[in-house]
Amino acid sequence: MADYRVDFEDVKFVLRDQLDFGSITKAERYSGFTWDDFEAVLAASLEFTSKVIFPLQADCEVERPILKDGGVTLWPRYHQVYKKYNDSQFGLLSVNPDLGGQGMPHTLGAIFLEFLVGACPSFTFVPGLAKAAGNVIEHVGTPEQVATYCTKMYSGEWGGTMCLTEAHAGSAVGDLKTRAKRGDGHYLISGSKIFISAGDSDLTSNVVHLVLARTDDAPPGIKGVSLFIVPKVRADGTFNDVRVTALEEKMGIHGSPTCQLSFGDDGDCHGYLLGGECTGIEHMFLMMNEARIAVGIQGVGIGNYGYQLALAYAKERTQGVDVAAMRDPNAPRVAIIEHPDVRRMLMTMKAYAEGLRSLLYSTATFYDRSLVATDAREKQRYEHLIEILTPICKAYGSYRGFDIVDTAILIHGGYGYCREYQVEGLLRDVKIAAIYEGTNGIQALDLLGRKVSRQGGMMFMTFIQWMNEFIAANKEHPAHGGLVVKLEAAKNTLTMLTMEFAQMNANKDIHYPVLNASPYLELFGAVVLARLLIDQAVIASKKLEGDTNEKERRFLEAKKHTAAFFVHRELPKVDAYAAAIRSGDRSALDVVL
Amino acid sequence: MKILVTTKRVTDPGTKIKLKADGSGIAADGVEFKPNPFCENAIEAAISLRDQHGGEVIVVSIGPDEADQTIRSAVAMGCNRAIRIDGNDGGLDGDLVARALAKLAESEQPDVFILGKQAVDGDSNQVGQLMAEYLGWPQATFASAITVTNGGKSAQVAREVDGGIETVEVDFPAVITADLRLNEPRFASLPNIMKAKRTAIEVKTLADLGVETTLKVRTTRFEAPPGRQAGKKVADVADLVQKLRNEAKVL
Ligand SMILES: Cc1cc2nc3c(=O)[nH]c(=O)nc-3n(C[C@H](O)[C@H](O)[C@H](O)COP(=O)(O)OP(=O)(O)OC[C@H]3O[C@@H](n4cnc5c(N)ncnc54)[C@H](O)[C@@H]3O)c2cc1C
Repeated sequence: MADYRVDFEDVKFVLRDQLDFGSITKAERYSGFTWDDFEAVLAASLEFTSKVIFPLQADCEVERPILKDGGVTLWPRYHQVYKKYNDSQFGLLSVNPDLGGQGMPHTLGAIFLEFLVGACPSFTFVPGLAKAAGNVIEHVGTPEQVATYCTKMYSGEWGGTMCLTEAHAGSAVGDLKTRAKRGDGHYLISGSKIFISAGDSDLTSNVVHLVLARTDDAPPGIKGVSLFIVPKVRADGTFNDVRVTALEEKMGIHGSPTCQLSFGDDGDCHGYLLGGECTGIEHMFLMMNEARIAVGIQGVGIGNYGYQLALAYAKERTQGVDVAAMRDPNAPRVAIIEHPDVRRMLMTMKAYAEGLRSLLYSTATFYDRSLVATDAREKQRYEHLIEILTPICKAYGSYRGFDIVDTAILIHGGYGYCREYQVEGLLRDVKIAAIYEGTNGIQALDLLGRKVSRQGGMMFMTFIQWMNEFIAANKEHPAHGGLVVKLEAAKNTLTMLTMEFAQMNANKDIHYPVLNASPYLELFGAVVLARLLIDQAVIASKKLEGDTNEKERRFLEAKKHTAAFFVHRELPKVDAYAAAIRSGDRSALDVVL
Repeated sequence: MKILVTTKRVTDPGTKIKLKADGSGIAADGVEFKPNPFCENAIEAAISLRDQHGGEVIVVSIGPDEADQTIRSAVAMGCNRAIRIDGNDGGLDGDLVARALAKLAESEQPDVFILGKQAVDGDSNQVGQLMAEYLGWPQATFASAITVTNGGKSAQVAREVDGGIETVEVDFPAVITADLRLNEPRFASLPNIMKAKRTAIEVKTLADLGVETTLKVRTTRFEAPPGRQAGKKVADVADLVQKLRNEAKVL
């Protein structure tokens, strides 16, 4: 099995050179740290991930969680790795110091997640969901609830889940039926949930479920939903009537127990209200951006590892001869990386892998910067950018992450289709990112229907300003100005289309814009990636004017090629999507299927 | 128990190194350093002995400012104090290193001094042995197990020797060098990494220690080994035996 590989140079390039993240230590909140600390911690966490977490991935392809006596059992090596993970405390990187964390910026936590999820996608669920659920309690809970749960969930002693989905209520969360009956100091929860990630395991002594349920007289739909803390084991040590009724056998992420849960079979499942009644969805939304960015990071982590595997394979595998020597039977056999079509595939993967990394890091840093912004307008600017970019991080990140791994399989030829090589496993693991945390179709609706149009298009305007600033500053760039001109045209197409959508809405044509939400998201994503990749080329050119060694020069020169490749060969898709959206073609709506 | 332990930065064994064109050394361009793996075994041993028996672990390295990063990773594993002896780690010989460390041992007076059995760059395998000789202390090299005996006055050490394990007992103060199978070095936890970044490293010069700096070994030239020659395919076993006998002349 090939080693785990992350292009750490690229990680540093994006964070230090493109996003100038070292400067965040000037803010009071992070003044206890230096760029040096960030780099040291990231390097150490990557080393830890490669040596300790990565070997578990091979296990996850052959072992399975087992359902026994209403609980889930994981195999011994999983337990050992989980203990080492908790001992390392890397999972506490960006956690609040009052709750046992190191209080470092969230961006670093996001990058650590990228390392982890590339190394062993399914390992990330138990710790990741405990952290996400703990985060909701930290933000919404009473001081007692925070004290009872957060430290134990963050340290990994207890697990956590997010229980939204029911058999008939997936994308339409508001249709959920689980009930919460007011009782004496608690509510009595009854109902069942499906597809609950990390729903149970013997890694932890308790699992704290966050359950969306309906109180007795709640209004129908999403507005009548409340959020409850439902521990598997109560504070006094008694069993809280929560059972695992089934484990899903899935396409991938086999190391993550995906559970069907039943609450209150014996009528004795206690739930503790989190926030007020009927405010459940509000609280879930609070955490939604972070969760969706985390899913985008799955695309980045798995996609980047897929690219690394394909690149190494293409340099090793010899097959055929140079096309110019095709008629010569004695021509030397070449590594497949010499074949133009393989080079095209590699560059496509590289552009998306690095572009997505830049997109996800950018959005994560906007979050940290919004937390430390002292100026209200600056803060708002970051918040707008996060709102607009989040559905793109989630959907574009998961779609393209999948495509990268798909291409990695092709580069491996028949070997790529076989279990012995890792790429087919990565493909099965990355697929889920397009589905949960709101399917990619739902993300497109969120982008077009809510983000772009909300507040009279204010957030979209902030985004366009972010684009325009970059275009104005670099249009005359001696080396890359030509790429910027193409970017400007694509950005103008995006702006025009967005206004045309507004027009369609005004005409009361509801179905046609919705039909075009996904193509619109694709187009949007390409424009954003082009901006980020050209920015990298501009930075690379500047760095090449200074002192560099051979390795750095190679890296920086490749950045310039990557931007040119993307702008010339991928960005033109913007025009194709625009033509489709403007076609007025309603066949998908009119057809009888 | 007071334990001195070494660490040394070595060019990352996982990367390809390049030689300077004039053969005077390894090209520093883009070279990455890692802690010597045998030193990591030594540090792990020192820390777990301290955890069992109490006391402190002091890590020492000889090198320039840049070696601080390597020292900090040892502190992050759990060493209590850190000392750097300022020096050009590319231009020393094992004897000078042994004499410098012996001086430090004289002033620190540890019960045990644990070193890696060798550094994976030069692979000299000399420092521990020479230093024990200079100090007049007993030595147990290539340790694969260490047990403290006699209420902390000595240690029983299993040594990896050709053909098996030899067990020796050394009275303290003693020198022990660590082999790979001694233990599995721990990963530093995040809080310890952060703490190590804030730990002061005491810097001493060779002059402070009163070490005479003449070298006994002079490096004249670095040369890359010749590239591997293409192999030969043999037709059958008879052909193989014939070739081994007549061409390779090994039978
Ligand atoms: C491995 C795994 C782990 C999961 N983990 C969790 C978890 O931890 N907690 C949790 O609560 N849930 C979890 N889920 C559930 C997941 O979030 C849902 O599967 C997802 O939200 C989709 O819901 P659904 O499966 O009911 O599909 P449906 O909602 O039935 O969707 C089917 C298709 O219809 C489309 N569609 C539906 N409604 C619309 C609409 N209004 N407009 C346009 N298109 C629409 C969807 O995009 C999709 O393509 C998990 C699922 C899986 C497979």
